[in-house]
Amino acid sequence: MTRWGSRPQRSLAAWTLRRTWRGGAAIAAAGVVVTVTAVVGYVAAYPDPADRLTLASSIGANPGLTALFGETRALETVAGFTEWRVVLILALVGGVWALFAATRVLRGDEDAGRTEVLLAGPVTRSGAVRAVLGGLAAALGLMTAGLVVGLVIGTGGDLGAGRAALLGLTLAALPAVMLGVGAVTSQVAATRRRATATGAAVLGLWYVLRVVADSSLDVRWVRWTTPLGWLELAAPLTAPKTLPLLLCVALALGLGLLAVLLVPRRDVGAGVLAGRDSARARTGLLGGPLGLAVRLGRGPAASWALGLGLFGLLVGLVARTAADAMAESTGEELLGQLGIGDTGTRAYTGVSFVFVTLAVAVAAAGQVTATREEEASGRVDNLLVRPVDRVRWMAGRLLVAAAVLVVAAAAAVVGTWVAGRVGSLGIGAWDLAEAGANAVPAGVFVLGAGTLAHAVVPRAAVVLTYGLVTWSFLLEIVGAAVDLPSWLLGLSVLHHVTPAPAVDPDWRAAAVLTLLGGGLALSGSLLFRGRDLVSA
Amino acid sequence: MAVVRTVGLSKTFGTSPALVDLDLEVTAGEVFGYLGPNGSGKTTTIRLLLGLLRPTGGTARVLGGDPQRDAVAIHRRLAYVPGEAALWPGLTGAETLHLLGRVHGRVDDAYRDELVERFELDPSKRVRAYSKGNRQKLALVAALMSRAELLVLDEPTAGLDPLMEREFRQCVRQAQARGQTVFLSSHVLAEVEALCGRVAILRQGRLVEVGTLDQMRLHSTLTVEASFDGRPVPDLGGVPGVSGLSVEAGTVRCRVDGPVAPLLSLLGAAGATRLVSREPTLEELFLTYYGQDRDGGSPR
Repeated sequence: MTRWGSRPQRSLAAWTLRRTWRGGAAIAAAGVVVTVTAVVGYVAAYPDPADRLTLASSIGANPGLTALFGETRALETVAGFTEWRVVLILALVGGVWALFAATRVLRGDEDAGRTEVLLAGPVTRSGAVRAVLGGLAAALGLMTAGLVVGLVIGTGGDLGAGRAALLGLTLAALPAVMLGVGAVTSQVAATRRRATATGAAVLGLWYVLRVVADSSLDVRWVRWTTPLGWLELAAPLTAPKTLPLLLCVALALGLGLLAVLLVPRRDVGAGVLAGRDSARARTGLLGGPLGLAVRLGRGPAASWALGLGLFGLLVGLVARTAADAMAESTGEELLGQLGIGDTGTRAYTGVSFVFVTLAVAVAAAGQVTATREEEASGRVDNLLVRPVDRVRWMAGRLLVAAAVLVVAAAAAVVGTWVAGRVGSLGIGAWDLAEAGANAVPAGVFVLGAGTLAHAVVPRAAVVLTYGLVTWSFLLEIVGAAVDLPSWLLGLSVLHHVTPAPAVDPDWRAAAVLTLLGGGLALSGSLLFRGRDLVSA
Repeated sequence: MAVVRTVGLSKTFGTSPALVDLDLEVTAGEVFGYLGPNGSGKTTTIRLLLGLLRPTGGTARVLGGDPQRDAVAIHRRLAYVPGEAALWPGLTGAETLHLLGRVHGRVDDAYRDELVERFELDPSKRVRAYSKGNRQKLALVAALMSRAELLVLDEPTAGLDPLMEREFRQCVRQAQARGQTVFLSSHVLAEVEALCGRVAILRQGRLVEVGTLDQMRLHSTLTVEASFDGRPVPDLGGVPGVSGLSVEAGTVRCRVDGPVAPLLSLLGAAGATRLVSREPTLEELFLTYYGQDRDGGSPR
């Protein structure tokens, strides 16, 4: 057999490409749109050099904002502003897509037993993994080409064609690395969910390392430990360097190779780090559908609590430093764009809790996905062929999902509060708790909308729900740079959440989001009762 | 009393019909076989009876209720085994049985333990560590342990070894002896032949035959073999109902549809020395209905 490119391998690669190219194309399109609006918005909002210098001095050299959004360079130029605004965010969005795509095609099929059919054919297991990786690489190549071409056409005039092309390559670098991460975790973890969660934890750790690196000049070297730091070092629009990009490519290739090498070290359907196969029965929760939902929801709740708890700790620790720096060079312009009139630790914590709100919304989309998977896999049949009403089952799932959101937000509050006591945050526990409560309603709305989508278009529900969150997030990012019509901004869920504790929570908006979410969830549950069950 | 009754039951997915005008009646206490090739609509029927799918036409009554509206009440009285059991991979066998038993609400604990023993199941293992066959055994135990009035089994023995298959047949016979009704969709024709009183055969979403095996055989083709010990073999080509004719070393083989008298008188007149006739096996019946006669003869 040839090492690469036998016929079954080629068709496997082509099949993988067919399943992933749309996601890659969507990421490329979103990247181009966001970047173009950032460029156009900057030119329109800051037409003359004096405005630009004011902006640069107000945001630049603010460690708090740098920690959240990345280091600023030459904000008085359209190139500098665009780089600061888009690189980190778009790379993260692309990276998350790449992780999901990799674990889906490398691990999801296997969990569903589809891989075995392929492996019985004339292809070895590592050959199959190589072929799937080849298909993923092709999808990535397509995405990269789309970014480069789109950016050169859309922003080449303002940024220069060469720089615009380099920006496209930079935005594709993290997705490449995350494909590698997903490939490795797909071999190491015992299930697809764990593979995705482990990859997400790695990405989270890299983000935290970058925050640490950017929080103080003394620890800038930490950037070299995280691919997100490499993206900053690459500085495609202001001070281009190729070494960091080459590091990304090398890491992506290394991870891909590692994944192929790990294949023979495990069994099909198991991970290198397989869980224990036997266990003492713990039946305490298994008295009915609700108890089962609690048991299945414990893992995600713990993961989100851990992640957001750590994020809160970090916010609590750096908020004081950030606020002090803001007092010297106020970041009011930017904070004004985010709806914050205040500076100080409250302003910084408020910006941070926008991210908590986003994370809670992502957690909500994850819960919708988990519920859909119960149906798609056929596992829910076991309950619904027994005396369990469909609405009752759905209500149990929703109750647990809502609890996961509350736990996630609460962990962020506790983390911030604990670290705040050390880092003299100066925000009361009650105010932090309010900020945490304020972060939940957007997630509740996403949960409700996702539940309705699940009832009406089950096979598209996951894409639609994550799409709603991504759309809201990108709209916020774009909206912060460009004056968008308010009706358009209003289509972002996140737009209706105030950045507490920087300003008071808008309880009316929170109540409306919660009620809407509840209403959507209820109508979704009722519609779910009346429809056919739909497999994967 | 009819435990399952469908009238004109139909289901169309998009534009492709999966089940067309099904009229079926399963009476209390019988073991009813449901046969058909892949994609003929067996699983669709079962999912309609369970209320997991909505009919696009006709009605179904299960245990006197509407499968959609009275789902919860009906499901209290039936148990179902899918062709491929999808279970929660993180739960152990014991946890799965506990959960499904509690959800069902009624479990014969002693019988459950007996079933676990008989099917040689290790309940301390997690579901993800079970083989396909063991997962199927777990689903079987979970269904049988409820002692439900109606057992709906959709190819329940897929992946079971012959010993376990025997154990399964034993369980079905015991269930019938206790007065339970069994709706058994299966590909294992020997299993259906051994267990089922009445059989329905489905083809491309339509019911083509329903009745006891004896009834089906009565109306079906008989295989006849006659030896002539060197005498000239008569030409049977013109005899009404005869098909699949072959002659080999003084022995003639053919199949007969309908009355056998014309054939017998001809064979007698020609001086046949030995005559063997055989009823079709279920497999032959089954194949007849699908027009795939392996002997290459013309389909019925």
